[in-house]
Amino acid sequence: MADQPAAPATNGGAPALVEFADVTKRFGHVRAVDGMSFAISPGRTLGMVGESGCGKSTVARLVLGLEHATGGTLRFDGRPYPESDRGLRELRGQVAMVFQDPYESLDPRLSLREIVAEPLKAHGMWRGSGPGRVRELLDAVGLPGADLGSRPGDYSGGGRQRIGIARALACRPRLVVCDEPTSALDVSIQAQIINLLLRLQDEHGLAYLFISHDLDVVRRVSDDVAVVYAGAIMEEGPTAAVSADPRHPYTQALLSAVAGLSPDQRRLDRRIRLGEERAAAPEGCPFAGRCPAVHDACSARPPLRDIGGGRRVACHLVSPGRPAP
Amino acid sequence: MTANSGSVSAGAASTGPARTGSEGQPLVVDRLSVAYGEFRAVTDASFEVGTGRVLGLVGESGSGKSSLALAIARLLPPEGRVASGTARVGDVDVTALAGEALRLARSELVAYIPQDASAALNPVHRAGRQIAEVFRLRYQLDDAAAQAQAVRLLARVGIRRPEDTARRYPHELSGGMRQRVMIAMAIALRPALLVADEPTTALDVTVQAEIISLVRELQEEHRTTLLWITHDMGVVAEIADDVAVMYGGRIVEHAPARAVFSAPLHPYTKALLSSFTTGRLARPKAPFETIEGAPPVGQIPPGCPFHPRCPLVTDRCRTEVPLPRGSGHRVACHLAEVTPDG
Amino acid sequence: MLARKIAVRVGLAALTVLAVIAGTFVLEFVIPANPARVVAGPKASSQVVAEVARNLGLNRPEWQQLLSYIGGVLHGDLGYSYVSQTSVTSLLAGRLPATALLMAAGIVVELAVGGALGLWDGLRPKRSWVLASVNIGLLSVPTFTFGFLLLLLFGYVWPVLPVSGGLGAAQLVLPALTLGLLGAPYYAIVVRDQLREVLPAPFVRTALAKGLTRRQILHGHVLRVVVPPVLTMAGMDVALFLSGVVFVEDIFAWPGIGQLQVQAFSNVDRPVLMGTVIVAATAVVVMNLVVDLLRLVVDPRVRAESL
Repeated sequence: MADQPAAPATNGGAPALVEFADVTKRFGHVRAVDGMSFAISPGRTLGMVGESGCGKSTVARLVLGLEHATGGTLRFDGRPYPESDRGLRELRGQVAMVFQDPYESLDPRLSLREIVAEPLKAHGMWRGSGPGRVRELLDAVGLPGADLGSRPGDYSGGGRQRIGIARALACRPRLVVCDEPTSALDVSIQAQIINLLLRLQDEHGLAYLFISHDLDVVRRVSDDVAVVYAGAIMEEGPTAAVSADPRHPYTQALLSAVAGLSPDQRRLDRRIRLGEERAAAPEGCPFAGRCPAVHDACSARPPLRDIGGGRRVACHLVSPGRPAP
Repeated sequence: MTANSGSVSAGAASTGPARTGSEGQPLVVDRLSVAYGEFRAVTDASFEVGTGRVLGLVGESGSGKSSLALAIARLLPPEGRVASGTARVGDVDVTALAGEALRLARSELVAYIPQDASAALNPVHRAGRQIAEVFRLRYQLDDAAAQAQAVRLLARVGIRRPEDTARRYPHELSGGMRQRVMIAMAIALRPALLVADEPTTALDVTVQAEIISLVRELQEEHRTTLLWITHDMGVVAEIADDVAVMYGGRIVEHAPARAVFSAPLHPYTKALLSSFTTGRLARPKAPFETIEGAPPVGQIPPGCPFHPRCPLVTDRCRTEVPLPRGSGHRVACHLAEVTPDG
Repeated sequence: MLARKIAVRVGLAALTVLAVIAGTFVLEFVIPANPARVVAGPKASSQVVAEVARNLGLNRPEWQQLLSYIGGVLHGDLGYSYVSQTSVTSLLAGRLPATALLMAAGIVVELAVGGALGLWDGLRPKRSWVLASVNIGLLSVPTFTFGFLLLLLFGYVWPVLPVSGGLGAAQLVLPALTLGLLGAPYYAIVVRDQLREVLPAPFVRTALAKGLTRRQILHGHVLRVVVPPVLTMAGMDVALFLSGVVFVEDIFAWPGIGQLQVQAFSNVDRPVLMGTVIVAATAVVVMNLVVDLLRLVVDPRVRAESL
């Protein structure tokens, strides 16, 4: 990759908490993550959006150290990701995860107390302040006065998700990976959980990697957003800029497929239609098979190129300053 | 039903009332209640959908929307039953049917598209065969003719290589393609009423757009009456002529789509719309508008089902169930202002 | 792709059989008898015994004996019976058809009775205690008890069936019933559970929504999905049968491999014993392979799995 930056620029000048440089993860023949480079800054939210199978869940697992990358460099706090079990355990004290399914991610036989205490005990933070911390965490997530002996089954989807968030925050992580945290929830509950996440970020200076296929949600919670297709980042930048002026054909297609606001503002008829997958050259742009603007140059893979304003786009048709095709 | 224009094959014949022009029939639901054992999932639902029109039925979990849809399609599980009320498609009361008449109604009158297409297709039959089955049994076509019709329909629902897809098994198809197969099966039945139960909820946004466009197109072509269930106001905006909002098993608002979006009357509808539009428009990191509390699961509160979460709640709301008022724009709320013509 | 899967399965089966043969050889050293002594007779002098031992090749190192045994087996030579001095292979070959016939009859009874029970219970809207009681009753009775009971009832109390043993259609009835009835509960449960799982499934609802008749739904949609687990069970059943067959053939004097095995055991006729073990184990492996391959054909989802 000729002009691939070694470490992507981070906003605010603060050193990145997590840095991925040209990271690849293969499962057999399949490249789930195909040369991704991005950075997560402390206290900020990077949103990752893409359709099912695009590799975003694999990214989450890589960030948590649950998978080892096949290639590329991964750094946490400036140092390479640990390989040893001990190093990984320490890492997991600083990176936590909120899962998609509040029904599957909590052990139904454990009590609230046990669920939230578990990470504290695992990281040697239980003695003394532990029990108080459990109560403090549950208060913080909007379950004040909850019965510590109760079980996940006593709570609704939103309540369980709050428990999951309390558990994630137990060891005061610096980064929380949210993998579709609201997809399994009702619309009115989704809003509550998002607000909770935003408030907690404010109060504790958390960084978030927010993964979702829901464009609306990602747009609202992220400072920066990365649009992912087939394991590669197509476009990345500040959320407002990317939403208002998408440059990559895939981003444009995604945004055009969003439903209108009212019957008078129907817009699906005018959406950009993507073809069914045509065979794409393995060394070319991963999106070439479906891109409406594909041409000869696309048989070579476009690097993720800086186009100014903190934005990067991987497309031959886009260069700094040139308007969207 | 005699074969009408653009029909399946010359010589296809079946019995039943003749349908000319549009295939759709009006749907009239009158105080329908659906129960599972002692629990009422739907209480006193009343609404109408005119021939060839699209009603968007909106609600969250526990609202009863799926139960209502299944009841109208007569596909409730054994534990569920229609506790009271009727649902008429044209002049047939589908809730009163049984035995052979019910089977015929299922195959000729009402078609159902479920949310999860992967579970709804038989895993050991090829896709083409599952569609062809309709043609073999309903129109008495032979295997080859039925298969040919199945392929034709697959092409109609936007599948690029229909012969190839017809030979595949469901697990070999993507989510979007499976849903198209379900749609093909449904339109093969030429139903008077199509009930679509959240068919795009599990799909990616681009695929969702394709499916919505497709269904809209087919609905317009055949003038089928369409009942589309969803929790997503955006989908409603794109497809519905009329909207009915459900909460806690009751219909709390029912009006033409434009009216609901521009001037909602029920506090729940207002809250849903507000969070929908601000969700789309506001800048990043701004808090979402929320409705405190959660939708009722299991026990439905007395009085107005929404009262525990309603900012305008009064004592009357806690004890007395509000009945729908109004004519063109109906709302079930003690406090809503109902204009003389709405 | 399919050919590769088949080849893998066949290869694994062959390896298993080889391992069985080698493992059986361990019997050689576990059974507390000196084969040379058995052949020579209790009165022979130690010199004669030593001579016999040399003739039988028992002086060679163990690994050599193992290798020559395996080599022999692969050529179809299973040694010679100490007792009857006939080749084990021919002894087994003579008996195998009878056992196979009995097993086939037993499986037919199992599938018929178990399938009927399972269908009946599975199609009912509510659970009933009848199936559970019948199952518990049948599962609690040991094979030999049940066999003797049937023999008593239908051979002596109501003498409708022969008690003399030997091959014959009438003689087949009781042993087949013994094996079959005792195995029926497993099938009843599998069929019933499959039905209870499949009937509420969304794709059955789809079939209903298409306006198919109950019979069309049952035959066209439900049974196709119910059959594969039943098939798998039938294949695994061979192993169960082969252990039950020993009792049943002995009780009813059915001239199959089981009866041979019992006789060989009391005579400490090691080659015959080892031969029966190998044949039985091979039969199990082969049946499992057949069932595996059948499932590839019947259930397309299995074809998609990676191995």
